[in-house]
Amino acid sequence: MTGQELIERIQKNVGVPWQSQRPDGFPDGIHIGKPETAVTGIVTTYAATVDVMRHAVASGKNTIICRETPFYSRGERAPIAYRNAPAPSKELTDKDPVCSFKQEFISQNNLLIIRFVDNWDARNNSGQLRGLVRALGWDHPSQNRNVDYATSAAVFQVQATSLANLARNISQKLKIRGARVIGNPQSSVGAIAITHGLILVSEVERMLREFRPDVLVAGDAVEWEVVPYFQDLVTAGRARGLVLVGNEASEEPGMSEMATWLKTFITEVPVEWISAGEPFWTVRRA
Amino acid sequence: MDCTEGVKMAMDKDTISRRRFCQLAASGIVLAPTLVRALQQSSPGRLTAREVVRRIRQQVGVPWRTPTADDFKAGDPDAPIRGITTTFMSTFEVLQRSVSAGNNFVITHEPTFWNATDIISDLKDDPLYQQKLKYIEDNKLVVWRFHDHWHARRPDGIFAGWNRVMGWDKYTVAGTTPSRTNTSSLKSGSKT
Repeated sequence: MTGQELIERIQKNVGVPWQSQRPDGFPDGIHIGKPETAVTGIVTTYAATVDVMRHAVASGKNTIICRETPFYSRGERAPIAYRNAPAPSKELTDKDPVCSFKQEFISQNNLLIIRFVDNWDARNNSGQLRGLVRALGWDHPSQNRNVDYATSAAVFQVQATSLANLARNISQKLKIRGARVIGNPQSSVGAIAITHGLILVSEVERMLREFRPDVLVAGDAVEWEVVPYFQDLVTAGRARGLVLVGNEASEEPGMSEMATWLKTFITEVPVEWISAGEPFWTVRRA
Repeated sequence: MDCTEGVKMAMDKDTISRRRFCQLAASGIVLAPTLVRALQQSSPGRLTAREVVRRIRQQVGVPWRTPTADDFKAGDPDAPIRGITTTFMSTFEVLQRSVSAGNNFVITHEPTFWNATDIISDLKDDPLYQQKLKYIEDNKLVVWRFHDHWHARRPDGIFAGWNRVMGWDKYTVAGTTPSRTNTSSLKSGSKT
């Protein structure tokens, strides 16, 4: 199976009309590598970090399917809301020692880097949300208040607990150390809205209006937009808490779902999810 | 790390004591002395926010630029002011504490309405926006943003505060002035 054949097989199975363009200029498909390269094995991951690529190579896999771009930027055509820098020019990636090191590693190991985001998210069965919900252990029907996997957000009713307990429970389930929380740790919470990735003010506003949750769980937020918005919501008594687990932690379970899904129609080569790993550790002040 | 976040971090209630945070927030560390000088000539009860801003523009030491985020965001600039709060961000809580302290003019480094340019067109129906704006109006607060020109000042006022809090002044490398490459908050993708 070549890289091109892999893309075609994904297109055949994805279940929605393939969108080949994306406003930020990085469409789904092969970003680096030749389409005729034979696929020796597939890794799904949040981001094709050098560490993930090394693990892939060590286990004999040359194809990495990732959610984020290999050169750290989504491109100059990204909506302003995503706050990305312009796409790195070829001149910059050639001159930047990190980029050229990574480029060399990719070439030397004959890797294929494939981005698969928009069409995966366009399926009416959100793999990213489903993966996150499953990782949290909230996929039991009794907890399901309004799960609509056709959108990127859902709301759950868990047994009332304190915000601090909830945050601890989430951290244990996702095996993370860097979750950040806004709100009084003692606040009693039960209704939880959850989404993956970055949240914007407009999305928070919509989720509060539609779901009326006590707490919102998400990946990350712009620190001078959603963060003070949530501080103000708490001050105004309109919400009790925000738990940010980190973008990577919120997306990685969905990349595990993707590996499971790929295995249903790819049997010739091994398919494995490799976590890019929580990037941050935190300091406890003495 | 963006220095703005750094100052926020240093001022965070969790990283320093709440009492110390209030002192810092109330004093504005670096900004406040400049204001005190500017205000010494004032006649009590007649000073307006607009007059304070006029003096700031005289004192800041860099030409005023347009476009800029440094503008009035809420309240009546011509109403008399009783006291000034400087803050990283005019959160609802900071507004409440300003009212408690008797300060009705709030100078904020970051937005009041949760986006870079305080565009409120999408927020008009948001109950939180309405509640915050009503609080500002009910308490006759005036909010003015001071971001771009405080960064443009040399040394950058945010760096100066950071260095003072960190005790890094003594490590300054001769011939360098701490500053950022982009001081406008209006450009897409800029750091603020």
